[in-house]
Amino acid sequence: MPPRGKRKSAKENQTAAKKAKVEKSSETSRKRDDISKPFSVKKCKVWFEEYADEPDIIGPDGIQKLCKDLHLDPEDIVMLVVAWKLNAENLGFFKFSEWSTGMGSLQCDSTKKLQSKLKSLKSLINDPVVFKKMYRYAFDFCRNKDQRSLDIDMAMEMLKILLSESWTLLDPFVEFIEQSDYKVINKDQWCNVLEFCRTVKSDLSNYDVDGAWPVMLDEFVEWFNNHPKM
Amino acid sequence: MLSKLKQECGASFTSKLEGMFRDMELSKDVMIQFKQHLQHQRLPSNIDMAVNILTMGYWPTYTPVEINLPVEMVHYQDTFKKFYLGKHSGRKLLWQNTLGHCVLRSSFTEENVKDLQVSLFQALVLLMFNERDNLPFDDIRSETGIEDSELRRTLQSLACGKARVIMKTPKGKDIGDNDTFLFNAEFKHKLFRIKINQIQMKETPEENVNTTERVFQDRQYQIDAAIVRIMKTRKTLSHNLLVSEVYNQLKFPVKPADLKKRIESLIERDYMERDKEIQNQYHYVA
Repeated sequence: MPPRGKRKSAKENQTAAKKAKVEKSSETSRKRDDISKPFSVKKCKVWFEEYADEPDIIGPDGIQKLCKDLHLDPEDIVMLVVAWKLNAENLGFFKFSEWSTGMGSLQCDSTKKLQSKLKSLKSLINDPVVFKKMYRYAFDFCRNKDQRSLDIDMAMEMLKILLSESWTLLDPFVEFIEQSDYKVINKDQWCNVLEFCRTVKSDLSNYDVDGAWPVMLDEFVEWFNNHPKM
Repeated sequence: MLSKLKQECGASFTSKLEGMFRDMELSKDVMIQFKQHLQHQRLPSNIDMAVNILTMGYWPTYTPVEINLPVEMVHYQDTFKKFYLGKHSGRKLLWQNTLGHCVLRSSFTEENVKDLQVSLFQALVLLMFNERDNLPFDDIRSETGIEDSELRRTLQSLACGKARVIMKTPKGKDIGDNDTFLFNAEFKHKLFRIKINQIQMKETPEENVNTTERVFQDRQYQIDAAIVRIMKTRKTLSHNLLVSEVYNQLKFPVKPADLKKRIESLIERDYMERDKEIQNQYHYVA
């Protein structure tokens, strides 16, 4: 799960690096930390507090640090899977309640344990049904909670994380959105993008103008057809 | 009538109307005084002038239009202005040329004399034919100073309407830049006093788009209502069936894209939802 790009500043990166150094020294003491040890609620809480920026909350800085320790790009899709598994409510934040239940179900109480799970977590999204659930979750996850719709910039960043591997039309679609007047995307449009990406061929040959596609997608098809092919 | 309205709708509703009537009454008085004032003045020609003083705010807003009036009219205007401002200093007089109208005594031949009831614009054009019988469009435009599209309508009313007091070459309904206009000496009409109506302004494309937009705005509630009504009875419906039912219920044409926008808007407002698996199926949300 990506921390919002804007928040990254050179200064923050520095402090993050410093924190990482401190982390390394403590990591040696945790060398004995055995992945096979059973899950412990207490350990899980200690682990949470290691990253918490304020009581009961891991904020963007803590998440960045966690990603570093996991050797992950914050924009790696697996971070979204983790957030989904934790049923995190807001992008860039993990509440302790989310953390303890989510990590409990994953049986993770340390960075190492979580790291060992990443591969199987990532493979989850190969299941189309699971992926769809996560895709729908992503909308509400990223949404500013006092708005019903998702800001278009955020939506495009999220689409890049979610669909860049599966949808060949993603780049044209992002370009179409950028030149359009759309400022937000609503949930119905968001969900239909996934349906569209799954059912419509990349040459749009089986696209049905009279179908139930939201107007946004109709406009995209029209724009794409009138546009020099990329 | 006015007092009835006042009773029914309150004083604020009729205040402007009352103001208009007061303006007309006052104007009558002013004109009587002006007539007396004129007797001591020496003014050329035999023009009879009546002025209505409209208080700004009581009346709709009219955009002032600059035109070139004949010297005699300007003379009268100036005289009136001096007279009026002499009585009420500090006021501002603005001539609304679009509202002016004239009665012209026109001698087509010695025997054929008619009174033409025309707008001020029409009068300006007709007065030019006192000097010459034949006038090209450009000359009329530069001398009267009437705005281009306004002048075209004015010429249309005089040369292409019911009472054709002037003729145009080449013949046709529209006024071209190179048309010339000719005094119609053979003009015949059974009445003595003839009113020549101004031609109604055509809607500009811009206005047309605006109107269509406004009509759609008003209709969208009807579209919404139809969709909700159908969904409420059917509970679950595929996109195509819903669309065809909506078209059956609505008595006006709707573009498919606009209809889809309404469906999407209703989904966003939780009146209905899209099936999570079947993309083109909707459910009614109670």
